[in-house]
Amino acid sequence: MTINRRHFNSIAGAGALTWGLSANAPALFAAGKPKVVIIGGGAGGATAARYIAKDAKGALDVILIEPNRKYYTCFFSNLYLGGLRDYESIGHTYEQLATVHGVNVVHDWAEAVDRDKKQVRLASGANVAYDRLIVAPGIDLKYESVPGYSVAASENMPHAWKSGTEVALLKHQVENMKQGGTFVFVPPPNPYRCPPGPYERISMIAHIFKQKNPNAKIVVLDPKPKFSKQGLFQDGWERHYPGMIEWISPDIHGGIKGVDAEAMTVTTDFDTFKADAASVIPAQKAGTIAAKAGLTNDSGWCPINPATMQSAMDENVHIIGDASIAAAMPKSGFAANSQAKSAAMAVRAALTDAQAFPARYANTCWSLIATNDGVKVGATYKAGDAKIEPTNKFISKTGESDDLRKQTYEESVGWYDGITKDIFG
Amino acid sequence: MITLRHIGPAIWAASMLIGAHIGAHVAAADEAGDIAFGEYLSSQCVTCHQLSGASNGIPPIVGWDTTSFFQVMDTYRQKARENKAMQTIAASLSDQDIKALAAFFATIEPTGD
Repeated sequence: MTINRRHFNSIAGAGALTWGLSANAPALFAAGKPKVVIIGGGAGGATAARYIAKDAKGALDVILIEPNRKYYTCFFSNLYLGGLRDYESIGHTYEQLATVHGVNVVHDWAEAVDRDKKQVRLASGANVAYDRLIVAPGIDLKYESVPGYSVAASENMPHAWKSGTEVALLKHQVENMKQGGTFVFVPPPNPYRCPPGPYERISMIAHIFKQKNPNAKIVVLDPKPKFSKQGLFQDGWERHYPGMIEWISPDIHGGIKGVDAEAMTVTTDFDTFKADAASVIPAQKAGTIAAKAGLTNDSGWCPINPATMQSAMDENVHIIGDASIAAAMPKSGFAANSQAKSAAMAVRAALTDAQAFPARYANTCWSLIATNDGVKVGATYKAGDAKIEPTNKFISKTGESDDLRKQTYEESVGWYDGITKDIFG
Repeated sequence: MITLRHIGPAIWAASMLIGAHIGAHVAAADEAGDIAFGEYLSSQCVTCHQLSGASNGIPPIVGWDTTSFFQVMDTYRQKARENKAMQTIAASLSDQDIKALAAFFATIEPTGD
C-alpha cells in the first residue's frame, strides 16, 4: 500500500500521529509534488526536514518518520546527569516542524526500504513513496561486542548512549551508589557517537560524587589507548577531582574480557573489578534500518559521496549524521546538523530548480569538566574527491584562564539554544 | 613531461585557471555580496548564532551593517580577535564569502525570540 490522501486517515487512526494539517502547512502529499522522505528525527533528520521544507517553500512534500513524539538530545544529556540541566530542558517536540514549516511528521518505525520501488515500509504496514530518501537513523549498539553484555544487562550497567530515560536510570544509580563505593566505566571502542562524550560523562559523575559521595572512586577501563581531548580532561580531573578517577589504558589492563551484570563485575586480562555502580558503552554501528536497506559496508557504517551525502550504493538516498562514514568529521549532533544542510541543498537542487553551492561542513564539540570549566574542539571541512577533509581546526589548551573556561561553557549553553532551534524550529 | 600532444589541454587548463583567478578577483572587489550565496553559507553560522538575534552566550550577528560585519570577520581571520572557533571558521572564508554573509545577515531584522 502506498500512502496517499485516501489512506492518510487510516494511518493516523492506526496510531501514527501525523502533523501538517494547520492552515500554514501545504496539503498532505499533494498530487505531482516530488516527495522527500526522511527516516529519523534526530539532529540530522530533523534539520534536513526543516531546511528542505523551509527552503522549498511548498514545492516538495517532506515526510519525517520518527517513532518518538519527543526527542531528548544526547548532547547536553551529560549536563543533566551532572545536575546542571533538568530533564525536560533537553527534550524537544516536532510541533514547530509541522505547524510552521509544513513537515508531515509520521510517528512510526521505518521497518524496511525497497530501493527499487523507492518506498519505505512502516511498522503499521503502510508504504511511503519517495523521490529522494534521507536516512538519519543514528547508531545502534553492538551489545555482543562486550561478552556478557546485553539489553537485560544494561539495566544494571546502563550504556545511556541514546539519551532519554536511560540517562535518568544511570543518574539514579550514580546518586544512590553506596558511600565510598566504586563506579566502573567502560567507554566504547572507535568509531562511536560523540568522541569526548564518555569523558565528559566521567567528569559529570565525579562532579556528583564530589558533592554527595566524596570518598567514591571511578575506575575507567578503556578499550582505547588514547581518547578525545585527553590532555584537557586529565588535567581537569587532577584539578577538580584529585585521587577520584583512575583511567586505565588497555596497555595496562590488557583488554575487556567480559562483564557480569548480576555480580556487577568487569573482567580484564589484568584483573576483575567489582563495581557498586557501572556503565558500559559497547561498540556501535549505523542504525539498523541502514543495514536492512543495504546501505552499509563491511564496517557497519554507510559510505557516502562527500559533496552531497548521497549513499555510495544509491544516488536517490542520502545518509547523514552518525550512520554515515564522514571521514574526519566526528559523529556528533553538530556534524549531523551540518551534513543535513548539504544534503538538503542537494535534494532541493535535484528535485526543484534550486541552486546548489559547493558543500561546506563544520563541527564544534564543547565538553564540561566541572562547573564553569568548559573546553572545546572543532574544525571546518570541505568535500574532497573521495572523502570529507578538514580545512582548519582548533582545540582548547591546558592552562587557560578561569574566565576563558567560563566563557567557553557559556558559549556551549548558547550553542545548545541555537542548534536546537535550528533543528526543531 | 609535456609533449606536443599535451599542449592543447595544458593551454586550456592554464586559461581556465587565469579565468578563474580573474573571476575571483572581480568578485572579491565587489562591494555588495551575493545574498543567495550568503544565505547558503549562513546555514553553518545559525547552528550557534540565532537568526532571531537572540543571544545567550553567543552574540547576535543579524542586522549589522555590512562594513562592520566584514571588519569583525576579517579580524577573526587575522587572529587579531580572540575565539578559537571563530578564528577557525573565518580562516575558511574568502573575502567573497564574508561579503555574501554580510549582505545576507544585513537583510535580517532581529526579533529577539
